[in-house]
Amino acid sequence: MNGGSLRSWEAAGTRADRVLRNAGTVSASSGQWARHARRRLRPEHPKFRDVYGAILSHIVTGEIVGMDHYARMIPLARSPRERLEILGDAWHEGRHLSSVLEVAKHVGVEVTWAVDDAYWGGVRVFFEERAAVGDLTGCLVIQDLVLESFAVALYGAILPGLEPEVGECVAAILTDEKEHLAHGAAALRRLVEEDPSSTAARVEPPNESVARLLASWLRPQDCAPACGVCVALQRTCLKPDLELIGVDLVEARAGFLSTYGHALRQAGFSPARVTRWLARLPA
Amino acid sequence: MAGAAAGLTVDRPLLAFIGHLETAEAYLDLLTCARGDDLPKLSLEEIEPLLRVLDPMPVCSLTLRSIRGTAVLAHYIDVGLLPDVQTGLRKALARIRLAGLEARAAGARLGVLGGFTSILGELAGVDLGRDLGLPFTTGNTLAAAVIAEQVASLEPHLDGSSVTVVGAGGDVGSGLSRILHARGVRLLLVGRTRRPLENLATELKGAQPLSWPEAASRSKIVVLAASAAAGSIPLDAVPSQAFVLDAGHPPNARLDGHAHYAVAGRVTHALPPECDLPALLSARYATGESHACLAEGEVLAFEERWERFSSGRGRIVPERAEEILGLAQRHGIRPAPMRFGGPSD
Repeated sequence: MNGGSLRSWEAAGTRADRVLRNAGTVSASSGQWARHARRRLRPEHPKFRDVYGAILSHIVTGEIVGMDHYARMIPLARSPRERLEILGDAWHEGRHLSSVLEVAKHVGVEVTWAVDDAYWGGVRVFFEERAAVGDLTGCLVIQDLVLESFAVALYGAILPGLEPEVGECVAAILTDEKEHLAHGAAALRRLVEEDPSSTAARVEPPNESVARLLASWLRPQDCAPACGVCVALQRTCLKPDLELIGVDLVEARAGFLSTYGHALRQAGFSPARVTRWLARLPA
Repeated sequence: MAGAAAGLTVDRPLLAFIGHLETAEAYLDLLTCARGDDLPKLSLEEIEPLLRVLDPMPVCSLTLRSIRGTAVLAHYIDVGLLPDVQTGLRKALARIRLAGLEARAAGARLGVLGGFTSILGELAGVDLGRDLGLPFTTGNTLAAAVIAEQVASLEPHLDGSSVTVVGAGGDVGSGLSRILHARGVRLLLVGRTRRPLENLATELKGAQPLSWPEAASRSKIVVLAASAAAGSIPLDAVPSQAFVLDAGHPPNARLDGHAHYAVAGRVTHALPPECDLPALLSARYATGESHACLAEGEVLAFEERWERFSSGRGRIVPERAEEILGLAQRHGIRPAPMRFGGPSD
């Protein structure tokens, strides 16, 4: 990692303040999910426990991956303030994890986690490669841009069809993840302003690997190979069941591409550069 | 900024072109070029479902230069409206509005609504400019003016017969009819709905509303300016010696549908526009050419006139057409030569 600090102290302060303000609670950030409710899989439905168990297990897994990534980035920080900031990020993901485990208990579903499958495992391997060579920019692109775009798109896709209690939890997480994404784009923008060529070169490998893997995962076809969560739960692919809560995977995938592209443009890359990156992802 | 020179980053654009490509195939071609040739080719089956739901997004930047030394940066924002796919009006308007928000967020001072985007806004009575606090022009005044010049270039062949305008009830078609009428041209007016044609015929003495088959057989020059799916207007009834000027976006007729067929409504720039995604221009224009409607925004930007020069159906009049055509010429933008018999689109 070259160049100046990834995050300004002002930004770190803002984030730290927010983390402290929210400590110990998951704020129900309005009933926006309820206003847009489209299709509900009611608790009495025979597939409720199965589908909600799988959805919440995926969320648990994603939040664990995020928490681990931020934790892995801490030693790469070049200043105490940056270290504190990234610690806050890791703690934040941990708080999400805690709230999802709690809501799973409330609605009475068992959850599992699987971070070493062909999907999350692939993401983690690539992340570790960047971390191992001290490429904090590469780590930031993977976690703060690609994975947060993925999270924002998917949480946004499932939110309108969720049961109120779960919806409140996911709405609060979604609000935080949007902030993570905006924050990541702002951090990347500072690097782009310092050295556009070198920063673009750091975006390309994560785009070719992690973004491509995740875009491919969102294809409507059943996963092949099966993801770790579905294997652990001994169930068939979750994708067709997402229809029960009104999720259209084509729309979700478009949401991921739009969100990710927007974040890259927010980071200061030209529309043509971003179009070329997005065009390289599976359609 | 060094990155801007390398095409990595971009400065704030003054102009935002909001539009769409002609067909799903055109999107496929653009994505294929943008993707590079080291990956497997995409297919229409893969991209079509995604195109229907993908949010509008800035696709590339264009640098536009006047012969008077001014340069303007523009963004092309694609709304992803496929003209050959039915999209509900509400959904289409939402996409246009999102594109407008992108234009405003990018810092543009003027937006140009190209293709179906201006028509849909008109149909729904939506004033995007007022909603977003950013002026938008449809570019239709320069489009009508340019087509009129292209018709005039064929005057020796007209020999006193009439010109048929298909889509005469629309903005470009009615504006073109007014300009031609002011020049003493006899007009046959064709359109999907009767009422606007009758109103126009009342306004333009001697102009005659007719059905397409009737008008097709009676003119030596036919101008297609309808909002229609690609290649949907048959040319069977048009005499082989007549000239067909297709100003539709997408083209209204099949490119190989007639011996004297040419794409119209385009301009040529003395200083060609530069695009950082060159396939966007090279796939659909001869070098230095573009649609006249887009050029209207360019001219207004060169003149620093951040205004909705063209807006609202039926407001194009000969005086305004003359004004924008004069301004275009001042900046080295002229009606493009038409290529009959050899489709360029």
